[in-house]
Amino acid sequence: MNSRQLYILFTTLCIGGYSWLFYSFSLGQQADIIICPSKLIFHLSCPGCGTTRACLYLFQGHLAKALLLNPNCLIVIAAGCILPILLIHDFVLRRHLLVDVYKYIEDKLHRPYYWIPILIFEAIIWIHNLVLGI
Amino acid sequence: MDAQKVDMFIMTNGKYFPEESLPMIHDRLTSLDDSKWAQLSMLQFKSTLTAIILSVLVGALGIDRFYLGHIGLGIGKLITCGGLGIWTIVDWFLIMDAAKSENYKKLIVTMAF
Repeated sequence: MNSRQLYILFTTLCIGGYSWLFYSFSLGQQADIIICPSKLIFHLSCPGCGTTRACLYLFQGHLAKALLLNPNCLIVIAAGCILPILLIHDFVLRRHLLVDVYKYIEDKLHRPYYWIPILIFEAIIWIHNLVLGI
Repeated sequence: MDAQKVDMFIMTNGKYFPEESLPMIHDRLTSLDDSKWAQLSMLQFKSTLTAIILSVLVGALGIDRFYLGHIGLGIGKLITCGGLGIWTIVDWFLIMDAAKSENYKKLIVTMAF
């Protein structure tokens, strides 16, 4: 993936993610629309299901409830805070910090002692979501 | 490298690379040393067909990105319900080009070393 595609992808994700979060936040709960392709096609939850509700709990200050629902909300919120800063930084200063950060993370994730624990963690969340029907 | 070997390589593996890069690959292979042939012929490329099938069936879980070796993007897709479904649909159209571009990078790296 070249750097231009990467910037388009991350900008779209930030706009889409923030719009969805603000829409859900304005409703005070998750909207009744199902956006998860896995749930729509296979009627099965994915490891990302429940992240919006967990983020809403987090905004309301219920950390324990948020973590119990889906711990991925912490990663999503961290990415949601860092990505726009990097995008604006690169746009204003004409640098490629986001690409460098992406390449660094991608390089680290190619090592088994990084990606194996992450995938095990995601598998646990997936099982949790499937069992509870989140 | 021998012109016959170059043509054979392009005919067998041409489908794995972006079309616009084929003339460049041809030129670089022609100027390459014969000793690289064994290494090149043993290279395994990512199938574009497998990539698109994975993208359509399990793209929401980021499996297509994992297949191409984009672990970071795969995890990103996995924890965001396939980027709220938007990324999943966008990837149906991008994944074949991404697979070809990965194969091209792999070939260039192999030819360089």
